[in-house]
Amino acid sequence: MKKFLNLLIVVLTIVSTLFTYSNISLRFRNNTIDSLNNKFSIANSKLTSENAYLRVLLRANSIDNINYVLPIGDAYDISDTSRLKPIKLFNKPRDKKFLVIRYTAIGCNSCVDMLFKILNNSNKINNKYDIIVLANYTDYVYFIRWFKVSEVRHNVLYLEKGSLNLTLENDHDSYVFVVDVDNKVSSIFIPNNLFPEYTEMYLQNILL
Amino acid sequence: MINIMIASYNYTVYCVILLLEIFILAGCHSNYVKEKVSTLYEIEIDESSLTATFDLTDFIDEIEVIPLVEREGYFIGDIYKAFYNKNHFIIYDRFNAPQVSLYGLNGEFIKRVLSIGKGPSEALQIDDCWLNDDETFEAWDQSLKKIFRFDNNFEFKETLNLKEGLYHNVIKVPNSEYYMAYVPISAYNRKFENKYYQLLFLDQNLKKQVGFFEFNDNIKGSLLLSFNNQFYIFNDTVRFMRSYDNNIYNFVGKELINEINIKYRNSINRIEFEELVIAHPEIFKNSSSYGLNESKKLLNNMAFFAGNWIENKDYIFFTSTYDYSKFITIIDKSTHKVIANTKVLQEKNKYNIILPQMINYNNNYFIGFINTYYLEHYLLEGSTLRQLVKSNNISFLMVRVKLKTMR
Repeated sequence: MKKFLNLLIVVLTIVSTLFTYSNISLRFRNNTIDSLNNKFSIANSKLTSENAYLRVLLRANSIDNINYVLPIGDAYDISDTSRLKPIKLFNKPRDKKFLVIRYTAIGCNSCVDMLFKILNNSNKINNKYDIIVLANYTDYVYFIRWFKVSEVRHNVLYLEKGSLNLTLENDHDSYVFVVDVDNKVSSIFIPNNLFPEYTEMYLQNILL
Repeated sequence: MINIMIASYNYTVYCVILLLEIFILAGCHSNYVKEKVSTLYEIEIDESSLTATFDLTDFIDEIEVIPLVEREGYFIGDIYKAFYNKNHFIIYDRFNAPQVSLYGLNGEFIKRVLSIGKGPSEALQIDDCWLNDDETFEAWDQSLKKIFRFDNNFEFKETLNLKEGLYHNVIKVPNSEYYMAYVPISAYNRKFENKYYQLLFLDQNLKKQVGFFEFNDNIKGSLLLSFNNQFYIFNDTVRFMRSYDNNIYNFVGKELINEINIKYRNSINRIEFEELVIAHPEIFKNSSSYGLNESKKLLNNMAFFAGNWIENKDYIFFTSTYDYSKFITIIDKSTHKVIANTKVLQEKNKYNIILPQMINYNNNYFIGFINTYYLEHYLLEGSTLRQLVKSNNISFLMVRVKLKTMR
């Protein structure tokens, strides 16, 4: 009996040691593989989303939108919540281009916030362009909350969604474009806070 | 005789070692704890007899309205949570201008404690934050899986990192290095010890230690409401609460000690609610307005605990819903009886106002905030705050209330 117990203990000790060692080394290998997979997946995901974003920007500047001549539409002061006093847009002769920020409340607020941070600190852009925000929203409180937090310092008017015959009007993104002195649209851009470098690049380019 | 004794001793030792070996190989242990515990006390609520208003004036010792003086570059969009200690207010804006900011007792901006960014002391998103019993401050970023730690001057100290975990709320257990983390049923999380839990205890290295409130695959992914705050600390007790559960669970350390039952006239318990959810996945796993509307019909005419639990040694305030309309309950802690079940609390002495939702208590004061855009709706006739009404911008008034002590 004693010999049997001795033998059993020895066998079990060997088995449990082998089992534990195998378990530990397997876990270590799995952890290493998991970690590498994770890094690869993150890099891949970033590249994929950046490519998708660049394709969106290319499409935004397609022939359908570029050189489109804006109609002279009606906007409203944001305090005119009953929309009683329309304001005509782009109807006066001017020698400066407009930089228009088309804000929509259903878009990415943090994406367009970054744009305002740069604009608020850029004298060059403010000198070269008249900057105007054409905002669309359904909830006025939501809008003024955004207006406060984003520290918008430019002229803001309400403009109904779909008022501009640009393909982006039907999307859920806020976007930016240049209107030249002949009311032609160019340099359309959709800010995205995942790619802040593109926003900086865009604003540098429109200064050229 | 001695040989027999030695042989017996050896035999016993061998058996113990044998059992140990079998135990190691089996590798079997469990941290699952059943949640059935004793009831500390019951609160009975008759949700069918609510008052439209309740005058809290006679209970108030002091009340003060302090305008928050914000600073450009650090504007707050909305106040998701706020904390108060003897020197500061700590304001947490979760969604609009995500940040945690520090304000003085006079309402003036002092500094931003935590902001959004890519720096080592910045978060990608701020999902929760809490003030510890030692006056240090911590915040949780679910996307980075980090806890940001600040000293009691609100200076950034360090981060704690997790490998995994999508927690809606996190809090540090008083007098310990442990954390409690709340997991919504809809969140994707890995199993712990082969089970899904809604409440997890994490050790000082943020490793899962023990789980409570197990749920199964058949309810996993259901879209259920989560409160701003699933936890409330009272002395050394952490009260845990969750939606559609009329029990408040009291934890001391890692132990579930007892529970407080809230008994409504017409409600269902958590088990019955989960059975309802499991029976209707087309409603509770449907993120469209159909799901929301149909769930409202299913739970029609029922009352549930709805969070916002805050208390001092004399009173408890909390919110309930009845027929999807909210009401406030105030409980006298000495008798556990209802003082008020009401839609609105009023103060009719100093300011003549409707009181905002009280969102926290510390250092003898309950605090709540009024958005000045809506201030007009809070003013009673003859209110002294009328000059603060601003219809075209948003700023905040902090309302600080000290209640009279009962004993």
